[in-house]
Order: sequence, then structure tokens, then C-alpha cells
Amino acid sequence: MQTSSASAGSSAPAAGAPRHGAGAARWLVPLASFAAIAAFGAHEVEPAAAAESVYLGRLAAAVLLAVAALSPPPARELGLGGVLAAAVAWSLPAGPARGAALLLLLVAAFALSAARRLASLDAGPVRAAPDRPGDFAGGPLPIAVAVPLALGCQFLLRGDLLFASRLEPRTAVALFALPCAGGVAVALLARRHGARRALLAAATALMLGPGWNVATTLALLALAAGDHLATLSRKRLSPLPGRDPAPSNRSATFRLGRAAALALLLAPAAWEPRAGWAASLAGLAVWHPGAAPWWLALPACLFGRLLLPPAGGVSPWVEGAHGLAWMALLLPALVVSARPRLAAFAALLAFGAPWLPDRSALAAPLALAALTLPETGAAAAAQRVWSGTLLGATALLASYPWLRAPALDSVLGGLFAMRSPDSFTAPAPAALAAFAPLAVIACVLALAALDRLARSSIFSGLQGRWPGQAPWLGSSWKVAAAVIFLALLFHLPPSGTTLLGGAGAVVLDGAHPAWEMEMPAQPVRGLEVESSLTHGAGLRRGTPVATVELGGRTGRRLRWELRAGEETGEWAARRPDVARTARLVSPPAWISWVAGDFFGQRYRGGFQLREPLRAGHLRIERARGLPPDLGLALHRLEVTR
Amino acid sequence: MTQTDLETAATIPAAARPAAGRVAGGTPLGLRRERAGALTWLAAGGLAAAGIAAAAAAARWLPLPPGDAFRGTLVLLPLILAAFQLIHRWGIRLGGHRLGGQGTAVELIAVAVLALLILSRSHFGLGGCDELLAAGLLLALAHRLVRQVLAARPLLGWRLAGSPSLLFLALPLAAYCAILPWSARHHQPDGDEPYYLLLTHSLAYDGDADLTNNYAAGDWRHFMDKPIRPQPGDPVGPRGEIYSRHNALLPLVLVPAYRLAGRSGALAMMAVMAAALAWTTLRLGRHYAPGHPGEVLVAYALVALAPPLPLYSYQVWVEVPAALLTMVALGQILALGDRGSSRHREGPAAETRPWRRWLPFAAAVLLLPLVKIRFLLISAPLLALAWWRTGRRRGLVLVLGLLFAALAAGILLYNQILYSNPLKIHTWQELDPLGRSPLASLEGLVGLFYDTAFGLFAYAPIWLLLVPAALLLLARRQAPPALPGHLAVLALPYLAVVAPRLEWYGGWSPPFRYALIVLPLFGLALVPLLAARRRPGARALLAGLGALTLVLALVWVTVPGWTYNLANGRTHVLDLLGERLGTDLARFFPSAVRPRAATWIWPLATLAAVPLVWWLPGKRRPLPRSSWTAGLAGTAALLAAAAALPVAAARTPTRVVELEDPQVWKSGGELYPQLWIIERPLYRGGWTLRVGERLAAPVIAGGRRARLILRAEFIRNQPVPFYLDIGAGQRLLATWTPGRQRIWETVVLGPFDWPAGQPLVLAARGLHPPGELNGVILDRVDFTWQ
Repeated sequence: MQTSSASAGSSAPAAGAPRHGAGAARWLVPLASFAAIAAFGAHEVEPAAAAESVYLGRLAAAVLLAVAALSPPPARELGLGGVLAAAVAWSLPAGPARGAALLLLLVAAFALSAARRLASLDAGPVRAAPDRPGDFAGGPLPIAVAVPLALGCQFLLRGDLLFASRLEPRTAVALFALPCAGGVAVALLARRHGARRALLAAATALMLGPGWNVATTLALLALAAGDHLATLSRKRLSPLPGRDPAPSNRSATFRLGRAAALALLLAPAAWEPRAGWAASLAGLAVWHPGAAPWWLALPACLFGRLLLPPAGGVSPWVEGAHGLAWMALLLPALVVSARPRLAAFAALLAFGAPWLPDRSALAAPLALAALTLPETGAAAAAQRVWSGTLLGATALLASYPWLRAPALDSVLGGLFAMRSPDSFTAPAPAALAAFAPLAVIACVLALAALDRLARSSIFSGLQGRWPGQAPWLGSSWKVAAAVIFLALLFHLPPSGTTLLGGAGAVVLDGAHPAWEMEMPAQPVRGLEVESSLTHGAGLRRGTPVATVELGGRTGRRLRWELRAGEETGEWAARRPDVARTARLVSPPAWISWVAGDFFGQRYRGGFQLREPLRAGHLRIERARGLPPDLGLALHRLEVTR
Repeated sequence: MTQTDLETAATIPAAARPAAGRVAGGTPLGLRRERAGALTWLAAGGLAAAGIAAAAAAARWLPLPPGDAFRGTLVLLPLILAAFQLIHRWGIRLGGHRLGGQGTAVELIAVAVLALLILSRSHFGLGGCDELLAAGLLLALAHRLVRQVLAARPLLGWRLAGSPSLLFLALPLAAYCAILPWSARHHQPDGDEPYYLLLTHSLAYDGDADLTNNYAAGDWRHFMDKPIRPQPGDPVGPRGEIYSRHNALLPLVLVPAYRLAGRSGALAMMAVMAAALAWTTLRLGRHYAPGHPGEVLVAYALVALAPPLPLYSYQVWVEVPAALLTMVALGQILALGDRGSSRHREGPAAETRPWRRWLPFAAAVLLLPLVKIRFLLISAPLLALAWWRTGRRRGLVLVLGLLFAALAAGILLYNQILYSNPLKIHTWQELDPLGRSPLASLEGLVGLFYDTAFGLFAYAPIWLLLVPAALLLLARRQAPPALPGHLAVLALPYLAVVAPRLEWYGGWSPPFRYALIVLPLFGLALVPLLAARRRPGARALLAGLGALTLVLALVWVTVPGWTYNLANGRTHVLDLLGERLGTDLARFFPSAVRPRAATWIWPLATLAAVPLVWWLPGKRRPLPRSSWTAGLAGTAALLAAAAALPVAAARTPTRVVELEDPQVWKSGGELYPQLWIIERPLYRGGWTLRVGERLAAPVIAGGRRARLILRAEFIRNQPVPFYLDIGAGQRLLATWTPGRQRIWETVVLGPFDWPAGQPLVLAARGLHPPGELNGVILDRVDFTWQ
């Protein structure tokens, strides 16, 4: 039976872990890949293309360095990833498509190397230590694995930070210091809670961030500090047989460690007193899972909700309900939580924690809840697949060229055709579309029930035949993956037929105010318009900039307005001078591209028909009375049938 | 144990073979195997049925419009998945390794994610990323193929004997079928292909070879989008019937599949032939390197899965069936030779009815000229080889020789009657190896391997291993003993005729067309070299060249149009890169159509560098760690070389400016000769510049002063003066006033001071009265720097 090991989180490789080559070749591949992409970019004729190449080169090198640190031999994903990244940068024309291809490749290479490295770790099953029921022993997560994992996630989730031509200290901290600290925290958490739970906690926090920001990093550090304090307490009280006695209370190391842990425990509250207390209380709950945290949390939550002014037009109680709803990220395993009391405490914190500075204030409660999940069994396997899918999709949509903010909402909204828990005003179709996650949850709950059944006395006779576990449990992750795939397949947004697309855009301005086309005679259910405004920063939100008219074969005509700030926005909204002075608040970008030293943006607006129309004609006309220099660029038009 | 069981057991390696006799539980081994076999067949049937059902469901409910680029691929996907699963199970049953679950999971997840992205690509802004998503699917396919090939290694045992399992045919066939929907959609039949397909259509539906009605009815619509007209040289019958100048044998083979499934059926039949060619390569390995099954397997994988064979698998070209017939004939010769040796040992009683063994050989040799007349040059050496290898037996070879002579005479007579030329559209001078200069032959031979647009190495650099392999074969004559000789006998007469041709590259065709026929032997020539593949240098080379080959294969399959290049010394890929970098990249790569320094530097450099790296000093069997480190070093070296290319392009002084190249900016004018001209190497490529038009070419100065040599031809359409201004940027250097028209002139200008960073500007000026303007065809400008 495996027992907890305090030294497991050290930087020494775990038993059975692959030995990494000390040669420089491993590190040469990312650098050579960067050289290949950057050298190409440096000589490109188009300045925007050159800027994009250099950015993509940096991004590729950063992620590939993480891959290099993670890949077990023979590191094929590293070699192939480097060559393919260079090939993508060289062969594709500059623009969002090239960025998308490279990011897909980098996410795949990173996921593969991380999965292979984690699989190679001898995590082992988590079992309750016999002498301390409720105390978990888990497989270790060496810092040498946790830090590259954290860094790689940061490069993907906050890759826009690499766009800056100069590395400012603040950017350097965000890119390197925060993930390193977060990685160490995860490694520390893995000592007692096991690598799987620690990684699940980190993944949940990173999804909310997205990535490592101060709130998510402090949240995990507070949990790790609480965990460390708990370890010190237990060592002091009852050292493990055969181990050296714990350092005495007076030893400098002990006092230093405890002081540092206490400082980290209180750091979130010190950084943001109005919200950071939740992270500190989460850490306290890990340290002392008794009644004390409850007595502190209950009034804190109550007063927090009562005293804090509403943020973003939402009442504190609704915000609290939203916080609770985000616990759904930890479904399905949360329903079979190994420590329901601690999970309930996490839910209380999720309800009570004010969203300051943003939703990442929920990182601590949700990470705490993740630490209470079972580490083995069907539900745990399904949870890993579910969380991995969400994190992968979030990483993709948070990176160039999507740069969606917040990316997790885009994942839930786009991929699953459902609204994120932040918005409870989902229309009927979206509510119906919630079938997908429900199917996932139902499936994994069934698996969990089977898991319980297999462990029950009913099947005790079969245990001898299938020692350890029932045969279907080995495939539970596959079942979960298949169900998620099918759920996604049946809930994909309808594929559109492109009417206008390609490299160039149609620009409607004063000289050319209208664009029209004859459409193939097929029923149309909706129209999607990808567009952007030039010189539109001075408009008021909701100003109509164009009229979209769909003419039916029967003479019926439908009209919509394309409004600034709703369906479209300023293309240079992220350029610092525009961002400073713009009157128009542009909607979240649909796709971004490198436009020199800033990201250009385009937007997507959709128009749905109540009943299919056999359309014959489409006309888009720029609204009258707009400033003469204002242009509307139509990048892509699609009809859904 | 039954005879079948014994045969089965013989093919299974000893390690994988269960102990004989009864097994635990008391079931006799044979009975158990039968049950297992029945279950396997049941499972196989179930899997196939599930695949078919899923494909049918996808065809019915897939939310993609009919014209979508991925529709065919996604409909076929369940069948392909089922096929690979069946191949896997089949391999295990025959004694192969079981594939690791991790790898399978990675493949399935990749396919699932890509399928989801494909279905929702417009929703994720991936509307213009079709080729990328296809490349992703192709990567998953490549991953599976590599793993499956490695897992099938035990099937070959320790020594190659007998025919290999048909699994080795099914594997490439599944791969070719997987790429077929995408490739067929993105590649319209081109070159000779549409004419073969039209002939197939006529044979299938009219039962004749008269294409008159098919041209009239526009039957090309059944397999392509743009109309075709009869080719130059097509024979016309007495009543105006239009026939094809192409032979009918290949179309006859395609007829049944074409009747069943139209163009897709015909292409699937071509895929079967390509897979059979790969399988035959493996089968030949038992004769040339029976003691090296692992190396033969690698050679088979290279032939089957590395370009160019996969590129031919979805196209209708006679080279694939011709190569198949050649390898079948060669295999029979080798088998007959081996049997001849054993008969000497066993006595005359061992050989009865020898004609039965000769029949496949005879069929292959006699069918080859019917595929294409030029394959007479393959059949004749095959006959000679058969005579030599089978103990110089006169009887059967004499009979076959007579038959062959009669067939050749019949073909020539038929052509004479129908085309008034025994060689159809060719001449006897083309057959005369002395009729062309040795340089033309050398250029053709170098081009077949090194040319960037048509050569083997440019399409799959992994084949550069042929360089050290050739050196090894020459140095170590004992292994494999007969291969160099056979290669020489088969290939030299044929190449001696095709290499000096003006269109040595095969005209408008995929790469390596004329030499494809001996590709399997090239693969087997690698076997002795691959025995030392664990050396660090070899690992580095394999990793670097393998990665580059993989990337290029992804490009060729996802953008099939890029495999068809114009014979102008450039390629689509180099043009694209050159345009983006605003520089001439093509000058760094060899071209036998437009010979330049790189045409000769590359062969010499690779002749020295590739063997040197392969045999870098090191342990023959190094530790696994240093082995994969070497692989990564090879990959890093490849990337470093790629990084050096733009830098070199930006710094290497300009020596020659080909004025029609894409990096040259043009205000107007047109390409000379026209884009689709046949026999393009007959012409100097150039750009026609008319009065009022100008062009600007980037120049990297290699000194302070430059002497310019301009090659141009004046076209006078009006009796008015014409001037060509030559400048460096805004600075006018000289003005050329052409005197003679329609004559290529060489004009030496300068030397001039050349300011660094300034482009070469050529501007045509003169009077422009109404009507056709005067102009000049500009071929190139040579720079000599001082």
C-alpha cells in the first residue's frame, strides 16, 4: 500500500520516470524552430506578415520549450512539432488561418507531451492511509514536470503576452514568474492529494483565469500553503515510522517554512482584501478541515454579499448564484466527492467570494473543490476527460487568432451551444441545447454508479474473477470521451455555406455604399456576417452601420440592422491610441490578426429566421448619415440552411 | 493438425507461436484455433458491417453540403477506421504485435477533434483552413501507418521465405483509399489521364474505342469539370472516327471498376495496382535480401508510403501497371532461377510442366508493350535476364523471344497502318542514344533525381539515402548480390532512351514519371544501407530527411496541384516562397530544365555529405538515448538549414535575373511562351514587355560595379522607334535600341556603379500608334560584379 511521501514533490525524477537526455539536442529543436520562423519573417516583404511571423516564432519556441522539457524519449512530438511549426509558418499566407494552424499544432504537441509525461509518472492509485482515514496519499508530481506544464499552459492561454516587442518586467512576471510559482504550488499540492487531483485543481483555476494571473496563482499558492502547514502539523504530531523525526518547533527551517506558508496563506487577502479572503479561507480549510473555517466563512460570505456594491449590473446574490453554478465545471466527479464536507465548504466560498478583480476570484473555491474529488473510479476518469477537453478548448480559443475573452464562455457557448453559467437568460433553443452537457453528466453518473456497484458486495463473487475492479471500469475514460464526442457531434452549430470569403474583404464606404449578390435557390435559416469598421471608434454603441436585406423568391423581404458595438466593431479597437480615445465599445472579437504592432479584430453577427426562406437576393447597404471616412469591411458571409 | 494449420504455423514466428498439443482446458489446439478463427471472422464481419453502417449514416446525415471538400473523406472515415482495425486484428492473428493503446488513443482523439473542427470550421473561423485540417487527418493516418508497419514486423520472421501476407497489400491500399476522396476532389484528371478515362468510358458503355460520340456527347463530364478535345497525334479513322493514341490495355483493366463506381471506381482500381506494386516490392525482398526482413520492411514502407507512389495511387498513369508487370516478371525470373538451382540439386524429376511457371513471366513481358510502346525497352532486357538467370535455357526463352518479336512487329505494323508512323508520334531518332549530346543525357538523369520540379529527391528527400546506398552496393558487391546488375540491365536501356529526351520529366505529369518503373528496386537497394540505421549519423539523417519528407508529403497530398509544375525551372512552392520573400529562391535549387550552378552543386554536395553524415563515427548500436538524441539533432539541423535559406537568399549576390519569375514586379506584359505550351524546354522562358510597361527585379549587390548581359528578342509590330531603358532603381543606366527583330540578341552593358539595395528596372518606351504595340521578349539579365 502506498503511503504519503513528503519527498515526492522534490525535483528528483520519480521512480519509473523516463530519464531525459542531457544533450543539447532537446533544447536545440525549439531554438532552431524559432530561428527558421523568425528568419523567414525577418525577410518577408509584407510588414504585417513579418510581424506575425516573428510573433508566431516566439510563441512556437516558447511552447516547444515546454514540450522539450516534458517529452519523454524519443520526443517525437518535439521533433515533429518543431518541423511542422516551421512548415506552417513558411507555407501558409499570413493571417488568422496561419495562426490557427500553428496554434492547433502547438496545442496538440503540448497536450501529447504532457499526456505522455504524466502517463509515464508512477502516480499509482490513491488510497486512504490506514492510520489516518481521510488523509490521501497520491502519486507525486515532480517540480520538473509541474513547472513546464504550468509554463506551457501559460504560453498557450496568455500567448498574447508574447506579442510585445519588448519584454517589460510586468510581462516577464506574468509569463514566467506566475506559472513557475503556480507549478511549484501544484507540485506541493500533489504530495498529499495526488497528481491527478492537483492537476484537476490547477486546470479548473486556469480555465477561469484564463491562465496564470495573480488571483489564480495566489489561490493555488494559498491552498499549497495550507497543505504544507497541514503536513508540518502532522509530522510534528506523529512522524511516520522509519522516518526522521520532524524538526522541532524551534528549528530555523521549521519556523521559516511555517512563516512562509502562513504568509502565502494570507497573501490573497493582503493583495485584494475584499475578495482574497476566500482564497485564504480555502487554504485554511486545507490546513484545518474542521469547524473553524466554517465559522469564519459564513459571516464573511454573508457580509461580503451584503456590503459589497453590485458589480457589472448584477446584484451580489445573482453573482453568488453564478459562482455556485461554475461548480458545474467539476461535474460529474463532484457528486461522488470523497470529502463532501470540504466540497460543501468550497461551494459556500464559491457563493460568497466577490468577483474581484474578475471571475478568477473563484479559482480558490473551485480548486479546493477539485481537491475533494475521487482520484480513481469511473467518475474521476470521466472528470479528467471532461476537464481536459474544456482546458484544451479554452487554450485554443484564448490564443491567437481567436483571443476570445473570456475564452471559457466561448468554449461553452460555441462548442456546446449553451450559455455559460454567468448568463441565466438563455433563450429557449440554448436551454434545449443544454442536452449535450446533460448527456455527459448522465453518462458519467451512470459510470459512477457502476463503479459503486462493482465495489459493492453484490459483485463480491466476481472480484476473484476480475481482481481489482470490474472490467468496464478500465474503459470508463474511453466511454466518457466517446460520449463527449457524440454530444459535441450532435450539438455542433450548423455548418454554414460561404457566400463571401477568402483573403480579401468587400469594403462599403461612401463611394461604394452597397454590395449585393444573387443566391442559390435554397431555403435559408440564418445569416452570419463577419465584418469590421474602419474609423468607427467615434460611433455610439448601437448605431446602425448597415442594412442587411434578404429577398425571397416570393417577393418577401427581410431586413436587419448591423449595429456598431453589437454585431460589428472597430477593427483597431486594441490599438492603444484607439483604445484610449474610442467612444465605441466594440464587442468581443471573433477573429484577430496581427496588424503591425497590434491585433486587428473582426466581429461576427448572426441573424436567425423564424422559418426558412427561399432566398434569392442578398443586399448589404451602408447606412446613410455616417461619417464619410467610415468604412464597413465584409470579411465573410455565411448562410445556414 | 491440418495442412492449413501447418502452413499457418510456419508463417508465425516461433516466439509468437503457441505450444503444440493440447492447451489448458483440454481443447485441442486446432479446434481452438478454428473457434478463434470463426470468432475473428465474426468480429471482422461485425466490424466491417459497423463501418459500412456508419459510412451510410454519415452519407445520409452528415451536416455538410454535397460540394463540401471534406464530405467524401468524412463519409469514408468509418470504413477506413474499420479497415485499419481489421488489419490490426489480422496482423495479431498472424503473429504481429498488438498496437499500443496510447498510440491508438492519440489517433482516435486526433481524428475525433479534427472531425469536429471540420464540421464546425466556419463557426471557429477556420473557413479557409481546409488544407490544414486535411493535413491533420493525414498526420493521424501517417502515425497509424508507421505503427502498423512496425507491428507487422514479426510476420516476416527471421528470414524472408514465401510470399508475404496480403496484409502488406491491404495496408497501403487502406492508406490510398483514405486519401482518395480528398485527392480526387482536389485533382482534376490531368495530362494523359482524361484520355485514358474517356477511353475507359467508351469501352465501358459503348464497347468500342471510337471516341467520336464521346467527345460529341461531352462524356468528360463523368469524370472532370472542364472539356477536353482530341490530342495532337490522335488517329482518325476512314469515316472520321476519332481514336485515342493511347493504348487500350489500361482502360480495359479499369472498365469493370468504372462500370461499378465511375471515376472513383477507376481510381480505386489504380490504388489497388499501386498497393500491389508495394506488396511486390516486399515479395522481391526474399530474393535479394532474405536475411534482412526488418530492412526489407523499411524499404517496402518507403516505396509504399513515401512519395511518389502515393501520388500516383489516385491518378491514371501507365507507369504504375507497367512497374507492377515489371516486378512480377522479375520476381518470376528470380523464382525460376532459384528453382533452377534447386532442380540441379534435386534432379530432373523436380521440374514438371515448366511452362506453368513461365506463364506469369510470359504474360507480364508480353503485356508490357501493350501498356505503352516504350516498355518494349523493359520487356527485352527482362527476356535477356530470364535467359541468363535460368541457366541459359534456349527452348522456352526462344519461344518467348519469338512471341515478343512477333508482338513488337505487330505493334509497329499496326502503328504504321493507323498513324503512318511505327512509333506513333515519336521518331526513330529519339531511340538513338547517340543522337543527343551526353550533356542532355546527364541533365535528364540528374533531373530525374534532383530536379526541384520533377525529381525524386525534391518530392521525398528521404530517397537521398540512395546516394550512400549506391556507394555501398558498389563497394560491397556481395550483398545483395544481383541487385545492381538487375537494376542496370532493366533500367539502363530504358533510361538511355528517355533521359536525353527533351521532355525527360514526362511532360505534364506527376514527378519521377519515367523512372517510377524501377522505384521498387531503388527501395530494395536501400536494404544493405539500412542494416546500419542505428548509427547516430544514420539516425540524424533519417530523422531530418524523414521529417522533411513527411512535411512535403503532407503538402503534396493536400495540395495535389503543386505536384504538377511547369518546365520553367521553378516550382509552385518556390514561387510562393519567393513571392513572399521578394527574392529568387529557385536559384538555390537544382533544375535540369533551366540548368544553373545549383544543378551540379547539389549532386556533388549530396554525394559527399550524405554518406559522410551516414557513416559519422560512432557506435554501430548506440544506446537508445543517444539514438533519439541524434534524431533530434538531425531535426534541429534541418530547421537550422531552413533558417539559413532566407538569410542566404537575402545576402547572396544576384548573378542572374530570370525576368518572368514571380519575384519580379511587372506593370504589364505577358509570359513567354504561353502558360500551357507543350515542349516548353524548346523555348527560352521570358516576359514580353510592350511600350509603356516596366518591370523591377530585386537585386542583391555583390560589388560596387556591375556588368549586365541582357538577352532579349525584339518584336516589331509598328514601324516606329522602340527603346528599352535599363536602370538601377530611379537611376537610368543605359538605353538599348534593338535593331533586328525576332532574333535573340545578347546585349552587354556597363560596367555601372550599382547602389546597394536598388532593383533592376527595365522600361519599354517608344511611340504607340493605334494597333499592336512594339515590344521585347526579355529572357534574362546576367550580372558580373566588380
